[in-house]
Amino acid sequence: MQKAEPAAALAVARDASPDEVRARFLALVKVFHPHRFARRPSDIVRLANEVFLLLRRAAQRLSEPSTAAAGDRIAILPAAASAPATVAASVAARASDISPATQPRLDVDAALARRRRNRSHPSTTNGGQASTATPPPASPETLEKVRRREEEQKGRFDTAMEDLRRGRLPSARVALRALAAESPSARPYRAYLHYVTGRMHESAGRTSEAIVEYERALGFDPDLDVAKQSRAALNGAGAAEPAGGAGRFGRWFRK
Amino acid sequence: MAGRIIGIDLGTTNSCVAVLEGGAPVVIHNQEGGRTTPSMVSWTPSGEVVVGSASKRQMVTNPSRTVFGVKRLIGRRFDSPQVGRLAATLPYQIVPAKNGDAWVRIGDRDVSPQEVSANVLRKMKQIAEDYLGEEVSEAIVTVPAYFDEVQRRATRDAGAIAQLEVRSILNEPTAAALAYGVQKQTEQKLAVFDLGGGTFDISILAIESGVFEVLATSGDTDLGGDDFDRRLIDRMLEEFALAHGVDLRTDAVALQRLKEAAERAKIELSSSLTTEINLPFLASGDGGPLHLLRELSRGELEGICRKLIDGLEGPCRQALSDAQMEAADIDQVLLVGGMTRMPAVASKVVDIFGKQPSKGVNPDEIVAMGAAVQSGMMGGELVEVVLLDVTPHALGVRVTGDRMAVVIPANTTIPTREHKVFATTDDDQSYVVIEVYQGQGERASDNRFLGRFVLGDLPARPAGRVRVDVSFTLDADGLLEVTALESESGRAASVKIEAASGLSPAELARLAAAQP
Repeated sequence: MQKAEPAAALAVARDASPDEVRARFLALVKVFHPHRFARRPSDIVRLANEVFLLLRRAAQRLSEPSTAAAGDRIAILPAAASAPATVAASVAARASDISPATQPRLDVDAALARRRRNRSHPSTTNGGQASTATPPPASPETLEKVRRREEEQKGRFDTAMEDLRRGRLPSARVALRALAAESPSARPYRAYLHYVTGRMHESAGRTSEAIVEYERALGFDPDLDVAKQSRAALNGAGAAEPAGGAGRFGRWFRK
Repeated sequence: MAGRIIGIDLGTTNSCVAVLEGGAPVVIHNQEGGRTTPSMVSWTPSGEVVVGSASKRQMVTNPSRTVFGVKRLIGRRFDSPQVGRLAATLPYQIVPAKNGDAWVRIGDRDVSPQEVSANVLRKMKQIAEDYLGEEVSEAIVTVPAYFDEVQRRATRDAGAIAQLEVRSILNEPTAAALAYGVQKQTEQKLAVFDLGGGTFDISILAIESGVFEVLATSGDTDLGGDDFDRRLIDRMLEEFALAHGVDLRTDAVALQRLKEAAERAKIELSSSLTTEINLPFLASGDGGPLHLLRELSRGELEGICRKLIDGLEGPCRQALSDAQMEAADIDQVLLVGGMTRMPAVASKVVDIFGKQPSKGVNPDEIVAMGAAVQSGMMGGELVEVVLLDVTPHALGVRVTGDRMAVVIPANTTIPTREHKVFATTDDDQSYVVIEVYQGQGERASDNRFLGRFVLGDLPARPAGRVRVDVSFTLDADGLLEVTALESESGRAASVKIEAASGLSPAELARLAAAQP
């Protein structure tokens, strides 16, 4: 049940608008809220709680353009190569008659800080073949490979722009993200990636986050007109939340 | 065939009970014709328990054995600052229980607040049974939105002692919004300003397509009508001491008379500009009996209570900010709780929200009516409406430096599940202690402790290399379950956090059985 595709869980189209997602979520909540099952046996109530959590998660994922893969925002420590977690059945906890003074404590930040100091920063030039790098003298085969690859990337970029024009922001974003990851020094990919992210924030009512993304976009391409226009529009509106859709799912995941 | 679920507003000063009839909430009046019943319990010298108006009538003659306002004690610890402040002003004695909770001493018996409230709940249950002509075994009971886990559980226990299965602990502002919104059926943003006898709640809700969604809630569980009374009482005590050199604080009967008079004067001044406080033979001095006769104006009362009134603004601003809204975004403001009848309070609301509050809401009854509406939602009579409430305080785990690592932020919609990954602090650390706290403080020890458990047999690794994934699940009733999982070994432990204080199941069973 945990792995159900978000759109399928809510029975909406994958590119449904935030309004559609919300309407669907509210309709389902009316049927599946655990309180509806209050008089049933407790295992039914438990199941109802799980179903609700699933619906909620699905609605979150579909509405919020998360910059990370599912589950990533949850982990605080950088992903280490550890064995996949086998969710064992709950084991009864041991009684705690350990004196507070000697209890080993959980610590987030100290451990993190230590790890960060010990790690070296990953290289930023893996895979990049763009203008800022000085490539070694290339053989004809390599040049051909590069040319084909750039053509293929351009194709995907055009598709992403088409998606953007048609308002299919999530698809555009996915494509731009992949492009930016493959060619980190290609500024247009990054600029548009931030622009599209900003647009998604804006349509979800998160004006301040949207402005941040437009600024970032302009950082990569100061002449990006669409970003300039969007930013101006928001600044002109005085960061007021649009009515009737403001931050609807913002509360679902406060940082 | 399941019976009816009743809705009970268990207030600090007064309680109210309602049921759903023909899809609409109906308030049930008691034998004396009152639509609310004082939340007071007395133990007469002969050992009889008296509840409600009868208890209130003997408040003055039996001050040390008449318990009122016990909602301010329920779920609290004896050594908490709130209880300390309260104990000094009450004519009945507060004592610590074995587990540190605040209990009440009646004669030679120590009684828990849960037991006191159970008497009130039982009275409300009887009122409903008399009206319905059938037995009632299930109820929705309301609490202030700002009540924490421990206070909620204690309230639920009070229901159990009264032989009522509490199907849901419902937040009072949410209940009011339900009762109001169900009648109107329009999409809107609502602010519910609930100032009762002992607590203050402000909740912001969105009503959309029959879904009542709480966006944010804030308040003060230590601010209510009783505090307004107390300011007035303190002033009168000062004046009396100055005039006659007599300190009435040690005179339980005089204190009760003053309390009664202060409450009455306060209520009168909501509709009159002046009133008279007349207490003949209040005390005796060297020259004979001493009387208290004083005029009080509305303006003077407002002056005495100015700080309390101004203190209402902070939580309102906080709630608006948490809901990411401005006052102008609010369509309607509902006033709930008797104290909102005070003109100074009502005008404070207008100051904050920039609009007149909605008329046509009975501030004393709407919460019980909302509880009745929810009983309809749970019992199946109302299907077009559903409620999405939030947890009012952050929930988290204590980490090094006594810091609070928040796992579920405040104002998160429930049910919810969140998790956070933690790391060990020592090399070869073999176990971790998960300590669960609730509250907004940065330091864990400033917050409410809910419980602890241990995850042991951790693999031996350098400090920071062992990751423990701690998952918090809050169900629709706000019951918390915490699970800790160590990913490498697959070791896991979990516990349903039931509040660390309160009554044990054995004590509960004994008390429930002892009820007549």
